[in-house]
Amino acid sequence: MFKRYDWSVGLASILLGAFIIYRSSFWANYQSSESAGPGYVPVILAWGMIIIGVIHLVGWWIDYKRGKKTEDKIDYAKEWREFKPLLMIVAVSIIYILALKTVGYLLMTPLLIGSILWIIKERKIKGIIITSISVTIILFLIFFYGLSIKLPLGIMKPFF
Amino acid sequence: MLDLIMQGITEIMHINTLLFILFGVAWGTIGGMIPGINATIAMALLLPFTWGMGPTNAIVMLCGVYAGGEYGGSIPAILIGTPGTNAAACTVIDGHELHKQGKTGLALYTSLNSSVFGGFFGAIALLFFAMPLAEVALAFGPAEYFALATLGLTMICSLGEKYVFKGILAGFIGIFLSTVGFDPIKGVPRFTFGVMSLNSGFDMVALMMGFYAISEMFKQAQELLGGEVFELKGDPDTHFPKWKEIKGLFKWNVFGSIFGTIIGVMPGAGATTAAFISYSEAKRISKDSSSFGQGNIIGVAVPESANNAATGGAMVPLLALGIPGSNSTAIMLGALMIHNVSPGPMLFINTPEIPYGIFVSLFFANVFLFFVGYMFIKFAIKITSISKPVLIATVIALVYTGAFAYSGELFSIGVTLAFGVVGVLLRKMEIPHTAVVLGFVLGFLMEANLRRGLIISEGSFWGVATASPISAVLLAFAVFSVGFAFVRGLRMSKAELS
Amino acid sequence: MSKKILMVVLSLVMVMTLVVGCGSNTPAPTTAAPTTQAGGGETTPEATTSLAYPEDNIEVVYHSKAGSGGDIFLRTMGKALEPALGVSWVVNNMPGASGATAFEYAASAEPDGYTLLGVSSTIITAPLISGMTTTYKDFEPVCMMFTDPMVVFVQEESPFQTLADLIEFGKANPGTLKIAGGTPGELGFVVGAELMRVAGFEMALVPFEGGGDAAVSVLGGHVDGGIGEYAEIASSVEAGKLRIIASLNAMPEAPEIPTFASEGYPEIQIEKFRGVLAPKGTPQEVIDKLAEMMKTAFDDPDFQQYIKANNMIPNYKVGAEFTAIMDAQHEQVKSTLE
Repeated sequence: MFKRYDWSVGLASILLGAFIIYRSSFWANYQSSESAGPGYVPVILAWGMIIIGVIHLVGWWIDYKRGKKTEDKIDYAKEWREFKPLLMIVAVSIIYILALKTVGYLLMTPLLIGSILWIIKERKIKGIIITSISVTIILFLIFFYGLSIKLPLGIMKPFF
Repeated sequence: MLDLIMQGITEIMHINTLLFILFGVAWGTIGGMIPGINATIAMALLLPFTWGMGPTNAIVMLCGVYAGGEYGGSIPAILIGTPGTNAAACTVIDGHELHKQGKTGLALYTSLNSSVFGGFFGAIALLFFAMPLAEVALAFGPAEYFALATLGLTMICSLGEKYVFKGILAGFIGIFLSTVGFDPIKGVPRFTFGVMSLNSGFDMVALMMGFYAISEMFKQAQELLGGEVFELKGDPDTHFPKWKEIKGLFKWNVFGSIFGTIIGVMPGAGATTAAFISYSEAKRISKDSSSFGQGNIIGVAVPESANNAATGGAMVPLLALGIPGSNSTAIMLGALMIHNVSPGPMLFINTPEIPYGIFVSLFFANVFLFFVGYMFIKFAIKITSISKPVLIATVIALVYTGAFAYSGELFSIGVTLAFGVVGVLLRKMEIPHTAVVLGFVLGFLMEANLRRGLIISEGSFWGVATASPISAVLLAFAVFSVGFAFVRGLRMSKAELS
Repeated sequence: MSKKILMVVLSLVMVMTLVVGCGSNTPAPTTAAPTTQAGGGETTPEATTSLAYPEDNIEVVYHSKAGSGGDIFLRTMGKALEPALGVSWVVNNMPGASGATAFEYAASAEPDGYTLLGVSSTIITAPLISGMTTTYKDFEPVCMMFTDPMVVFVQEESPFQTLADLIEFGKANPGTLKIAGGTPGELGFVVGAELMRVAGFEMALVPFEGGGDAAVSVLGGHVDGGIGEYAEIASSVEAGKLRIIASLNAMPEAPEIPTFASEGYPEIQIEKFRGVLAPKGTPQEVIDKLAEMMKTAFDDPDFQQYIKANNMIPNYKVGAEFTAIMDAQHEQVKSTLE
């Protein structure tokens, strides 16, 4: 069985497994009448994850000891550079979610689109503005009018 | 029966009935294309309008929506890697790859052909085998559902290719995600941490869109910034597939349709389950199984034919037993009830023109689907000419809107975003995310029915496994395929080392 | 070329909308703003009292999505009520969070009689199961309209003929009787739990996602019997595949079916109700007038057809009587969750 020994994978799955077992212990009292209570399947999964996690860790350790080149040196700077735009999009999205109900769809969505375009290095301001507004309008027409989905209007409510 | 079919045809052959079917198909396809809107929602939106219509017109229009809805999801799935409906998530795997390789036309038209084929297959099955198929539905109890779901889940072992353990891990994570929410047996909330919105678990729509669409958009954003701009080699090839290509897929269409019809018949499973299980099994028996996920056209044909055949299948319990086999058929049931039509075995005796009218309308619906789909494809291909940055931003906004539209909760947008990030992490760690999705899709089916089966067998696993020939055979297959996957994994790693 | 296609599709959509729009008066699900349909007219209300209500459209919030049983019930009822109301009865579906979204929205709405909450027994069960802060006590009862009869049923070939048979078997073989029902907290489960408690025996309740799944299980012979709503199995009963042993509620349409009371268990009182609530603080006169008008729905022949087709038992109750039923049910469900 060829395995790419990511110790991170191993560690992560062990942690996840342990977490599941921990939470499932709260349901111990539900295991009364039946053999399979709410924690039954999750605990099995958890043990599976832990075992696989251990396999990964062991396998990584073995390969490391053998001196096998499992992976190139991790270029942390490069990884960070790659992740930065993602984190920014995530941050913008979180702001979008939090402000959507109060500010409203019509104002937040162009901001969302515009900031994403900016994050991925679009610099033509005019293009950004046009895209943001037109896409928002199209989406709004489709969902609000076409499908009667109540998108949050926020501060634009009086206009409707 | 021929005279009954003729009765059905006379029901349908009015110009306004046919127009309603056409409208339904178009409406359904549009709805399917929009992420977050699926066949069920599209039908629900039309429901109030159906009151003024006669029962036949109302039902056939909804049938059209159903057929169109299950097809429409494949268009964004192929073009922008965003499944328009849950079942289309399976189409993303190979379909989007094909598009990236420039074989856009092949992917889009194959999906259309397969969907139409599947729809016809399901309709024919419904027409001729409604009663026997209903018996199949009845033969599946908790033990059998468990066995079927487990068989589907064993696929996770081979999805990891040579990293068998990572595949299993991924599947386990997926199953775990499906346990979040109310326990199906005891009703206690699991892993919800008091968050009300998680009571019914993660929205499958939000999860799919996060995993496939958002993480794909993240990846494309990274590529864009990293300078590796992915350029399609020349213009995408958008021609309609040649006859030889179509012919070659015939047996796969049949394969997918059979799975789709039978799984669609079962009340506990629907188009999404049908798509994923048929995809898994096709990959399992294919000689070239490693190419699945890299742009194998079979990986588009099989799930697409399955999810449309499932529409015909889902109508079986509705018409023959009066029990809706899926959310969409539940709405049809509602529409029928409003018009004072009670589906069930008596329907065929009391008012046969209605079920036979429905059968006939499904045929017309699929014919219309071909033409409607063809037009929509021509229109949708224009999307590929949108510049990459605009596409990325638009898709993210679209997906967020769709997630919100589906559940009406902001929380769903958060779920979509979260799974988008998780998808990126999984990619980084080379954990196959298809296995996670498979685990999520089948997890609930497997667990709920395992526990129901255990109640019925009074705690005996062997009792569940041998509850019927069906469960025993399916489970035997499952065990066998796990072993086979391990052997295969060993062989592959040995081949690599040598 | 693509523009032409778009035009064709759009015009088709418009044609259809006009065609169907002229057919019905009821607006699309959601928008609370007054909408008018082409071709439909609004009748002027006959003022039965001097109270100027309703003057604006009434929004009825429901916790299930469009197409569900309760949703169809509300819409059909709305259609029957509109002549008496004189305004539009708009059903607003707010599924999510097991009903919390709808409940909280309605509870915090203006108590002016223009926002109502359509309810079924879920308003009792869901808060208990999920631990919601909003419960039925945050509302005023407007009126209860129906009881959805719950029944115990078996396969046609089953050896059990009466409720007594079932109980006898259950006592003789504790835990081997397998009955399909709902999940804990749902009324199907409550029925089973109550039966076990009162009759003093033990059976295995197998929870299913919905009446439909349970019925299929019984039909397929995977369980010995089931508990569910009559509406869900009516067609199978008619076709002779399922047989109802006993009903929780007396069904006027099917008097031959014995009730739990006639079988010797009158203490088991469980009524799955359907009705309407209003936010706390809504003026009593508004509630009274609304309740009066809702009564007129029973006179509508289409509505009567609907009631019959769905085998619902008209059970009109207002005010304290309705509250009493909800209180009792609350206690029942609560006890099964412990």
